[in-house]
Amino acid sequence: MRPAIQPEQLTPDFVGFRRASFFGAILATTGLGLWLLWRSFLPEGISALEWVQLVLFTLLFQQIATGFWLVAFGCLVLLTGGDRAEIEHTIDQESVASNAPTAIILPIFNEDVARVFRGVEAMWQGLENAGGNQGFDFFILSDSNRPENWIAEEIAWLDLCRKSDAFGRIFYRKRRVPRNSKSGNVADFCRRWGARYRYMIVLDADSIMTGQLMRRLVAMMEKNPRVGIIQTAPQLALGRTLFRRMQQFAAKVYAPLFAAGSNYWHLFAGNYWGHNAIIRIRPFIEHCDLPELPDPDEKKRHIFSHDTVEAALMRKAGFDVWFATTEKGSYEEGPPNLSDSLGRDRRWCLGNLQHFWFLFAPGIDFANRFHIWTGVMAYLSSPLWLLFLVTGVVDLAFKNRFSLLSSLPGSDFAYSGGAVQILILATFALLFVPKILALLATLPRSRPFGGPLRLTASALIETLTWTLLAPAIMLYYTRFVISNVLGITIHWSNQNRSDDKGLGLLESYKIFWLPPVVGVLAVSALIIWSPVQIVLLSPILAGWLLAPVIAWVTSQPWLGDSTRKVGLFAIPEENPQNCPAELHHAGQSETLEPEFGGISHSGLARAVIDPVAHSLHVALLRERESNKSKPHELRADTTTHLLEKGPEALSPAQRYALLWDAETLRLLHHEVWSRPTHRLHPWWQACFKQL
Amino acid sequence: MDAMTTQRAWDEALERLLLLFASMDLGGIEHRHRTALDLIAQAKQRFNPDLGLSTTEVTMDVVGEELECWFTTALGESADRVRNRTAAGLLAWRVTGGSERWGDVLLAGEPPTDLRLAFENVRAQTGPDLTFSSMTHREMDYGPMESLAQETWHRFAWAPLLKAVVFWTAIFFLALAIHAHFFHP
Repeated sequence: MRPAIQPEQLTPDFVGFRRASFFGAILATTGLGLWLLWRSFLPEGISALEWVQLVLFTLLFQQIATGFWLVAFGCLVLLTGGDRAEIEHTIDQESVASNAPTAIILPIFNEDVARVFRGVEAMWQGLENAGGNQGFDFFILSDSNRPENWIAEEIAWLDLCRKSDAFGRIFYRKRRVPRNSKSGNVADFCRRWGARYRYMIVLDADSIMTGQLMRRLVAMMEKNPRVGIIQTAPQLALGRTLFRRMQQFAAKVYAPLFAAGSNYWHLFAGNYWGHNAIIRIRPFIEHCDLPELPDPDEKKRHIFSHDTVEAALMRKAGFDVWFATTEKGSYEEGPPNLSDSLGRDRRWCLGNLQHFWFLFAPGIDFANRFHIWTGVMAYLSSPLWLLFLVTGVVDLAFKNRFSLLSSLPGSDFAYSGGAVQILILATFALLFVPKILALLATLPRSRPFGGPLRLTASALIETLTWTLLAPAIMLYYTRFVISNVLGITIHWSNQNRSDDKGLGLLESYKIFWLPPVVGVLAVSALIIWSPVQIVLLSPILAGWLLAPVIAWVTSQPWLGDSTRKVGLFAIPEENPQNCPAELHHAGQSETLEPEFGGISHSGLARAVIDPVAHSLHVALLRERESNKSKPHELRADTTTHLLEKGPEALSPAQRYALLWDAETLRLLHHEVWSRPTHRLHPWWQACFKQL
Repeated sequence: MDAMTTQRAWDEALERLLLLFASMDLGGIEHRHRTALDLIAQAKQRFNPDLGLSTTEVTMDVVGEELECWFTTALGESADRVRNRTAAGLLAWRVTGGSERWGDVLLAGEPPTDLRLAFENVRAQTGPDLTFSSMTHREMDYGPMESLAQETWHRFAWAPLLKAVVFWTAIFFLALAIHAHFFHP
C-alpha cells in the first residue's frame, strides 16, 4: 500500500482538491437534473406549479446526488487501494495503547439489563484478552426511571463486579435528577470524574466494541494530540427478525462505500454519532457543553440530539474529528421492526431539525454545516418529496386533461424532447447505481455473505422491500416534521431492542393505519381525475397499501431465522468463526426467569424485602439532608400505609420517590420482616414466596 | 393466648427467620437452623405478651441486634463510616463471597481475622473519588436566523398564518382554473 498521509501533512490544496471534486460533482449533477426538468417544462411554458416543482427538485435532487457521489467516491477510494488519509493509518497495524486513563461510559435508560451487563462483561474480558485492562474503567450511567430496571441494574452490577473481580474498575451511577437526557448524563459524568481521565469511549446500551479496537483508539488519540473525537463505523449485528437482518445486511454491504466516500471529502472535519467513539475529555469539557436553543418564551430549550453539535463545537475549538472507517470491531444493534425504527426516527427527527439553528451560526466549520444540512434533509426531504409528488400529479393531471381537448398529438414526454425520459433514468441511476456499485464491490468477497447468488438475491429482496416501505416512511417522516415544527408531541411506543416477538397483523394495522388510508384516497382521486397516472405511481401506491403487511412480515423472528437457514441476508459475523468473542458473548441469549417471579412492582419489592438488594440499594444512595430531616411520623405513616394497603396505595411517582429515601426504606425493610403475616397486605406475602 | 396459638406464632417467627437467613445466604442449612433456634430461644426469654409485640417482631429485634453486633465487629474501623452496619456487613458478606469462603461462621462467635481484613476493603462506590470539573455552556451566537426569529415570533400566531395560507391557496387554484379555462380551452 502507498504510504499513509499523516494529518499534519494534509495541505490546504489537498483538502481543497478533494472537496472541490466532491461538491463540484454534486453541483454539476444537480445542475444537470435541474436543466433537464426545466427543459421538460419549456414546450408549454413554465406554470406556477412547475416553478414550485423546480425549487423542490433542486433541494431533493441535491440530496440523492450527494448519496450517489458519496458511494462513487467511496468506490474510487476502494479501487485505488484505500484512502491514504485515514486516522487509522497513523498507527501501526499492531499498535495498542499505552495505559492512558480512559473511561468507557454507557449512558442507559430503561434498557434490557441482562443485555447491557452481558455487553460490559464481554468488553471487560475483551480488554483483558487484548493485552490488559489497565487504564480502562467502565461507568454505567443510569437514568432509568422504572424501579424494576433500577434495582435490577444495581444487582447486575454487583454480580458482574464479583464475577469479574472488578470492584473499583466498573462503576454504576444512578442520576437523581436526569436533566437534559443523554447529553446531560454524559456531562454529569464529565463534571464528576472527567478530570481523572484523558479519554472517554462513549457507548450506547446496545454497543459492543472489541478490546483490541478500544486499545487502538486510545493509541490513535495518543499519537494525534490535535484529534478531539474519533468516530468508528459501528456495524449492525445480532439481529434476528427479518427487518433487523435486512438492515444489518444492507449496512454491511453498502455502508463501507458511504463511509469511505464520506472520509474522502471531510477528512479531519468528520461527524460524531453519539456512540462508539472516543473523545478527548479536556476539550470536550471546555468547549462542548451544549448551548441552549433560541426560544420565543426565553425558556431554556435543550438540544435533543447532541452529537452533531458536539462535533461542530469540537471543530470550532480547533480540534479534529476523524471517522475511522476501516477499523473492525465496532458494533451496535438495530431496531427489530418498522414500528421501533420509526419510534427512534421520531426522536432523531426532532433532534436533527433543531440543528437547523446551527446552519447559520458564525464560526461553524463548513464541513459541519454540511453534516447538519444532511441531517436536516434526512427528514425534511420527506414532506418535500410528498409536496413534489402532489404538485407533479396535479400538474400532469391538468396537462392530460387539456391535452385531450387540444388538437396537438403526442404525450408530455414527446413534448419535452426526451428530457423527461433522461431525467427519470438519471434519478433511478442516482438511486440504484450506489447499490449496484456496493454489490459489485462485495461480490469478490461474497463467501461470508452466502456466495454470489445469495448475496445478489438478498440485495434484490432488500431493495424491493425498502422501495415498497419508502413511501410509508415518507408519510411518517412528514408527520414527524410537521408535528415537530408545530410543537405537537407524537406518542410512540418505547424502543424495544428485543426481537424475540414479532408484531401481530392486527397490531400492525393498528400502528400503520395511515399509509393504507392515504393509499385508498390517492387511488380514488387518481381514478376520478387522472387514471393514466396510476401505473406510473403504482410503486408508491402499492407501498402505502401494503405497509402494514410488510411491517408485520418483516417483524417476524421466525422469518429472520428461516432466511438465515437458507443463507439470505447473511453477514460475516453470523458465522461463529468470523464473530469477535465480545460480540458472541453479548449475543448469547439467556432464558431468564422473570424478575422476582414476574410479580408486579418487583423493583420496590426487591428493594424492600430482598436483604442483599436492599443493602446494596441503600449503600449506593447518597444520603440527602432533606431525607434525614423528614419527620419520623411521616415515614412511619408511609410504611404502615404501604404494608397494609400494598404498593397500589402509592402513586407511581411516590413509589419512585420512595426508592430515593434510604431512611424510609430501612424502616420498611425492618417492618416487613418483623410483622406477622396476617398484618401484611397479600402482595407482601406473595413477595416473600419469591425469595 | 392459648398454647396452640402461641406455638403457631413461634413457628411463624422461626419460618420467617429461616427465610431471612436463606435470602441472606448465611452458611449451610444446618447452621441456619441451629442459629435460628438459638435466636428463637433468646426471643422467647425476651417475649412479654403485655408489651403488645408479636413473636415475629421480638424475634426480628433480637436478630437485628445480633447481626448488627456481629457485623460491627467484622467491619472493624470501617463500621464507623456507615450508617447501617447490618446492611454494609451483609453487602460485604455477599461481595467477598462469605458463604463460600467462611462457611458457617456468621453469628457463630467472633468473626475470623481474614474475614475482617476482607470486609475492610469493601466499599460500594458509584465512582472513584470525585474530581470536579466545570462544564458550563457558553452563549451561542446563532447568527442571522436567530435575529430574524427573535424579530418575528413575538408577533407570530398560527391562526392568522393558517387563514392566510388557506386564503392564498384558494386564490392560487382559482386563478389557475380561470387561466386554464380561458387560455387553454
